Amino acid sequence: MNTTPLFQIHEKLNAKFTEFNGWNMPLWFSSLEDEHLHVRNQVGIFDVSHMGEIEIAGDDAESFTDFIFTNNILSLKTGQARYGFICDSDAQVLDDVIVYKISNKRFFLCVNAGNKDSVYEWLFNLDHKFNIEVKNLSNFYGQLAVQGPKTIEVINKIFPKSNLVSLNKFYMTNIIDLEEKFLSSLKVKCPNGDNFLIARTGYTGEDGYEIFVPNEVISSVYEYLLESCNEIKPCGLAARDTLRIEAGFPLHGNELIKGTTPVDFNLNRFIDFKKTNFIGKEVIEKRLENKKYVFVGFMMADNSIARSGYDVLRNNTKIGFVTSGTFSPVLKKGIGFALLDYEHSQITEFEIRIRKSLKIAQKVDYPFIR
Amino acid sequence: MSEVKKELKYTKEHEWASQDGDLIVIGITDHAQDSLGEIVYLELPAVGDSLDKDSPFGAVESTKSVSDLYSPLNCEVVEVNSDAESSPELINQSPYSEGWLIKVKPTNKEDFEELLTADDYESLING
Repeated sequence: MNTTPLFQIHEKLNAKFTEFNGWNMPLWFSSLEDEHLHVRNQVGIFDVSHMGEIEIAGDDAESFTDFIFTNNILSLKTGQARYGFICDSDAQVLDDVIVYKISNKRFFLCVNAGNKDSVYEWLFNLDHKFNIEVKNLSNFYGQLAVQGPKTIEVINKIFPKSNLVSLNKFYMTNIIDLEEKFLSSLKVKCPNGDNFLIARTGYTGEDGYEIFVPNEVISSVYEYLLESCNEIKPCGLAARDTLRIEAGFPLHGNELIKGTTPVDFNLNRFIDFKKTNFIGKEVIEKRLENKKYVFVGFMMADNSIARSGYDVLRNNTKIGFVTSGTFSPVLKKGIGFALLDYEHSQITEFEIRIRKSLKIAQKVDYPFIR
Repeated sequence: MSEVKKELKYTKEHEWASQDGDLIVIGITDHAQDSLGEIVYLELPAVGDSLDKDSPFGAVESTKSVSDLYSPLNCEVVEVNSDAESSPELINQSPYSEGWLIKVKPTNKEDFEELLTADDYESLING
């Protein structure tokens, strides 16, 4: 099993570990609920070094990235980020990614741990006439997510030279403070020259930053952040999952599964239908005309909890299944998402089979919080 | 380190059992509650239900995950811990005492003796 460079620090912090996509990752440190609420109210830090980083570089990088991505790339400003999907020709989502525009000739993709090799191979082996190069930088970069309403204030104090005050949401820049501190000691520097990057993005529904730094020094950076501010609390993957469910974000593999397209999950706003072409466009347009599924948020009527894979029923007939489900630490209720057959698009209440009994769930809007 | 009480019997599914006169009290171990994390939901059988040895009789759920409960022996349920049903955090706070789950009448008294000893269980969780 893979471990991140922070494994020994996590062990010292008494983390409980879990296997996730071939990685031995911290599940929680002291308490999932404390970590979850700390991110909602203050600031937490996640080791997400298992995530992958891919760069598309070259004279045609912009048009190529626009071609392999559902959202618009041509309108991105330098440093700007955009969420969307890399689809195959059947419009199945190979991965949901954030693309960062470093320059007209360089685009930086943050990809999911379980997909980094398959996405890299897909891009590398695509038959095309663009003048580009695809680089898998996943072994070079580690990643930290600092999330919560106090993040901006706290990180601005720790990195005063990086002018983060002017870094808007969904933008990326270099961390000058870390360059000054660590660049000279790096044995291996990133070929693209951007060794320390910070983006105002995240996966918790809170404001915050995602920080890309070389694996070689990530332990020092992590300890430096924790030492600089005792309000920053280490958080595990369990809280990351409950936070993203409350925030209404999909997880590739739970949502965005084989045989579906992004429009089956109400994600049309991350697809630029005005673009002349992108891989998967035809199938997505057909699916919009001939809908197969409806994707809903739900809340359990009683205190039960529905989990991923549980059957959804109406009048004793299966009409769909739960894609993600958990107990919401903020709402203190069972919440989740379900994918239902499209004929039930007007449904407001359904049943979920939980072990031997059927429990009532009400359709609710998501995000579940705020 | 998780606590293993010497005077109790155990199952490999992380339940404990304790004799109380003719009855047996069943709960989950300290190791089990620690692995689950904060317990937020408990599903128990009804009084009068017959339980089969090694069959699921309920579930205990944390925010993160769900774990089935398995009956250590053939028995009939005579009492359930309604305090733990309404306040499942009792199982985290006191797995061997206030956080007990059910009280049962065993079909065969010998079944109890066949359960794991504290030493067996300790080597199971530390092995």
